[in-house]
Amino acid sequence: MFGKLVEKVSTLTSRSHLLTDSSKKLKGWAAFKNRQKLFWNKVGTRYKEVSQSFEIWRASIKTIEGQFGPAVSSYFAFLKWLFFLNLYIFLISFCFIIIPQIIYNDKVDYSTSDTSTTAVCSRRYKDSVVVMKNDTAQLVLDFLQGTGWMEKTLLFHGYYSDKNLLAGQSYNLPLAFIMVVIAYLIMSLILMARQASSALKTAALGEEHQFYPYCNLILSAWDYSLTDDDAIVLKRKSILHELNSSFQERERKLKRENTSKCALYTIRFLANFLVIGLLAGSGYLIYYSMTKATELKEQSNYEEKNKFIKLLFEFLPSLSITFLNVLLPLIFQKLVIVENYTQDTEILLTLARTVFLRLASVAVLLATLYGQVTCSPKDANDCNVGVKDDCPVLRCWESYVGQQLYKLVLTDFIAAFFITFFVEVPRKLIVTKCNCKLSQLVGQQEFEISKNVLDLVYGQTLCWLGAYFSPLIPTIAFVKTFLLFYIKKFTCLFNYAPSTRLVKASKSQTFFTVVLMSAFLMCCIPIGYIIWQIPPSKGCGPFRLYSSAFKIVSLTIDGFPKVFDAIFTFIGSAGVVALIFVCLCLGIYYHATMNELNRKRVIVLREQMAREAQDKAYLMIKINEHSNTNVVSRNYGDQI
Amino acid sequence: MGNQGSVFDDRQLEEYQELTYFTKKEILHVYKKFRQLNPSFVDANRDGRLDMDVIMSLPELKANPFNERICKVFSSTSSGDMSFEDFLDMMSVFSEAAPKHVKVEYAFRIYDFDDDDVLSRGDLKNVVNHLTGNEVLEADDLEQLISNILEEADLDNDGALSFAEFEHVISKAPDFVNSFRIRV
Repeated sequence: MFGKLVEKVSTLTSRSHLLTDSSKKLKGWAAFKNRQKLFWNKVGTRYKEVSQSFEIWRASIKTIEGQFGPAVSSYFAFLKWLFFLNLYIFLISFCFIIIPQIIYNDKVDYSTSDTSTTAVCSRRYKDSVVVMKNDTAQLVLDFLQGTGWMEKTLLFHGYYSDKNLLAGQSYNLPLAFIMVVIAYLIMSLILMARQASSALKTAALGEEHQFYPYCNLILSAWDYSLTDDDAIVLKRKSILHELNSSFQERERKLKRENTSKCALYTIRFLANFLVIGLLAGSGYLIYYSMTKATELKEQSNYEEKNKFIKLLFEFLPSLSITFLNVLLPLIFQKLVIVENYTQDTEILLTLARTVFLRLASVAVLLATLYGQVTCSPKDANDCNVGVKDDCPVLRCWESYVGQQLYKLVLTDFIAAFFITFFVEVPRKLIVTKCNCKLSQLVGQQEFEISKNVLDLVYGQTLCWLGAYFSPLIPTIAFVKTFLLFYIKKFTCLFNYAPSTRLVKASKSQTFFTVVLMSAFLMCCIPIGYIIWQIPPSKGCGPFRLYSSAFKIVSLTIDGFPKVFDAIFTFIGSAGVVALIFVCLCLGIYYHATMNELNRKRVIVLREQMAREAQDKAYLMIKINEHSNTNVVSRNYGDQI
Repeated sequence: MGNQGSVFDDRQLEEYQELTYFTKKEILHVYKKFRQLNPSFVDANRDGRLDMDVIMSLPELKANPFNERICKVFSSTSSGDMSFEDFLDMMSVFSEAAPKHVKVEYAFRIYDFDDDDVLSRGDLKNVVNHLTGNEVLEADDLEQLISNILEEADLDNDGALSFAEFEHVISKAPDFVNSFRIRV
């Protein structure tokens, strides 16, 4: 509406008269439609006003965008988005699990006279958790490790009750627990899908944009949001650099063809070999540290060891994962330079390797835990825990997994904090204050969006995975993202210099979504499998009565009226599923065909356009000739 | 700024809200920015026009290579000086909520230095020179660059980009919406 009116009326006030005039003239259906439109517009702005009052960090993001441009600020927008995602997850679990558990806390214990297996196992589990109240150092260590007194808090799965709380009008906590897990997964998926649809749209544009490299470079190059003088100088430089490099790209390609292909391929082969070796090695390191840590704990003289050494053992797996996550990407970056790819491929390749490392390290961790949890033989007489010499004794494996993830979350956050204040700040000081060779060697730090995004995605993966085993992890994640925003803002404004290369915001946004989606899928599979298949511990947690966590859902459905049961069976039946499948296939086929047709139409239209232009040029020439002859003849006539 | 609410009455704010992509809160914020450019003048006469030099002292504009063009395009007298309504109009077009087609239209006008409704070779050269600033490209390179742009985008081969052609190219540029934006 705005842009179209602009041509005719230039000031706002005159435009407003136009608006009211045009709405007065309308009658009947058109007037009704107009009123409807205005009404919905009003609702829209109202919604915007309300959501704006919840908005945070607007000024911070603006400052960052002013200095670093939209690509870096999109990282912060992503961080903000994750903050809200974690807030929602936190709210769901807080309202439906934690509050009921707190309110009815005292009514949930089994009485000592109860001799059912569950009651006996619950007592045995409770006794196995040692709480030393007098030892302050031990209390702190327990806090860091999630053991001892921490294990008997709301933090871990094992603490939650298996009973219908509030006898009589019951609140079914186990059912609520599983529903919350399903709810937060679905909610995350919906929110991500919303984000992804816009990101994928721009990605689709990005594919076509390679046909217009120069237009893009010139016509949408300037970031209108830049306010910082240094940033502007850099921006100018980067545009110029991009222009020059696009001129030189062809020459470089020729040069690359001239260097011996054989040597290049050998180098690349070796590099890939090395990368695979490194990945396999880090996988093994994680596995080794996990098993070693449990093994050491089982040793008879473990209790006598120094507390600090014990802490080190406890944190061995999380430390090694974090260490690998910091170190290996650096190696990958150096390695890819030797491989001599084009700039785009270089970035993409390093990314792919780093993503793989991140996700693989979590996968290895899960696989190792899976091995420990499902380890046989089990002692059927003693609550199905592992037999001591062959397997780790896990009286409550859900809490055990929760502890591992809790430690990872903690280490991840401490590492981010530590790296910012004890590595990046000194480095910045060296570079700016000292005028020696060292400072030139180290150089200014640039904000690497992809690496930082991977850190965030890794944290989010831990949150999704952890929420089942430790319902308070979303709370930690929510606080963590909040603090992380300020840490990152500080490090961005204080430690980093704006990038000297042109970074495309649209590219990085697509990348965020794709990585987050794959991480999400990677979380869904194990959580689904655990809920469906793995028998819960007999002595702890909300599902101790059932053979699998999902059993509670099927039991509840059995309790529904027959109609629901029939509906569920009908929806689940093979015929319906096949029908839906066929419909989806038809839909895909239809859209693929339309896509192909449209592509052809575009080609035809383009040809038509060129032809019209030729026609136009031809006609112009004809007109010119004609008018010339007319003028000549008229002049001739005048003379006569 | 305690008296912010009293600067505009409710009806006027509603009207501005309908005519721009802003909410009331943002409109007041834009007014605050406008006032900061020259407080005493704006307080004395809210509908007065600020000179182009004053407008260009806004941080985002000060840094912008196309700042003069922007002022001229959005100024209702085309001279570069702006009333508050012109300023609001400008901020609204640059806001996040403004749709792409509106932004494209204004971008076209900004880049159309000679106001002849097409981007000719001269306009494009101007754009490139404004972008690169002091370090000018060599003449050959510049010619080559302009030819490349026209080759890509000039669908009807008339040696200049019409608005339709410009819109077509920009619609394929995923970063345009992100970069043609000034946060309030």
